[in-house]
Amino acid sequence: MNFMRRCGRLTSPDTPPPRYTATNVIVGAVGLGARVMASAALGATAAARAVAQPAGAVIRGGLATPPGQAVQAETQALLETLDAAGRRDITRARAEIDRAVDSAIDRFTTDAISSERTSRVLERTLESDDLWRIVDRIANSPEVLDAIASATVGLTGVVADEARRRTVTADEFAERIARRILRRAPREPRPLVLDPVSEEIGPPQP
Amino acid sequence: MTGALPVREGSDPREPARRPAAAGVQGSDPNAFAGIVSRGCALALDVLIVQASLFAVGAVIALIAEAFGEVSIDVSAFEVALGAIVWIFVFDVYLIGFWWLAGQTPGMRLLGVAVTTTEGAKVTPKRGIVRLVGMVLAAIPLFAGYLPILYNEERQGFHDKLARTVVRYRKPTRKKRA
Repeated sequence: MNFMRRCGRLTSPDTPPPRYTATNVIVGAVGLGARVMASAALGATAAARAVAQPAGAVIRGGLATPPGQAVQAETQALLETLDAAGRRDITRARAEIDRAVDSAIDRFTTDAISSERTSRVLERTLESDDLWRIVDRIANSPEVLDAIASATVGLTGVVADEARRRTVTADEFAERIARRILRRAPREPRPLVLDPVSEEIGPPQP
Repeated sequence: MTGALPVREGSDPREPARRPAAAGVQGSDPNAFAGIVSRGCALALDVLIVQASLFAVGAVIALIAEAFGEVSIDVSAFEVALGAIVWIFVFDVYLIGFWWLAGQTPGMRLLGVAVTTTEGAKVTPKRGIVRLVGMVLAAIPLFAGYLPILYNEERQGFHDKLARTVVRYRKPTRKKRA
């Protein structure tokens, strides 16, 4: 508005006529240029939109057609093939690495065992008295002997307990059968009496 | 009294106390009389032990004898009879000795049974001999003398009645290691 006024377009009968100074002319020219540029930008955007929309429609329409779908499927298949090949390569690489490591360890172990140096060391160790002293020491150590003894006793105890449990069951079973054959009443639990001397409960004494 | 249980304070002494299960004989009365299967198995184990021992001794004697001369494996009837007499003698000594000294043979110990007199005392050698004779007599009529163990209230066979002994389950005692 100020610009217009400065340019002398908007004039009213009350307002005094504009003065055409150099400043007013320059400001008015710059404003006009800006307006022209803004209009050009707006126009370009509209034009781009107008071109892009039909182009997108064309591409979408193209993909929707049977050849487009075929191209899409081909692309998908190609991508999947590439992906699978990558995975296969990783698996194969791992297997190769494992095989190589195993082979290296085997070779190393075989070489180490069969080497003359190892044989010499082994022979020297077996011939040394120190080794047999250590073996004797371990074999006769109370801890080892205790462990062996307790393991043996423990196993024997478990076997004996199981044998006892089973024979007691067999005793009762055999007695039940015999009493049924002889038509006798089943065994009743024996009454327990108080021992007046020891103040203990136990089976009746004859 | 062997295997007797103490009365808990505050409990009625007329009521029977709850008995703990014997170690290794779950749910059984530790003072109960032992049945025919336990006793039979124990006797079989004792026979095996004596047989193995005599076999080992015989092998050692044969080795020593072989060092001094030839040993023939053909034995006469007299030698067989002699071997049988030795076997029976050793077995008798073994049984009576263990009944008297420990109240149970190794086989009986393994199966958790022990023999005492009806009064609860240890079996003396004299009573042991009577019991042994009773065992032989009980075996003569097709082992019929052992059948009373199956239905008798105190599970006594003919030999037990004769020697006035009973066989009870005994709670095994294990010494704790230091």
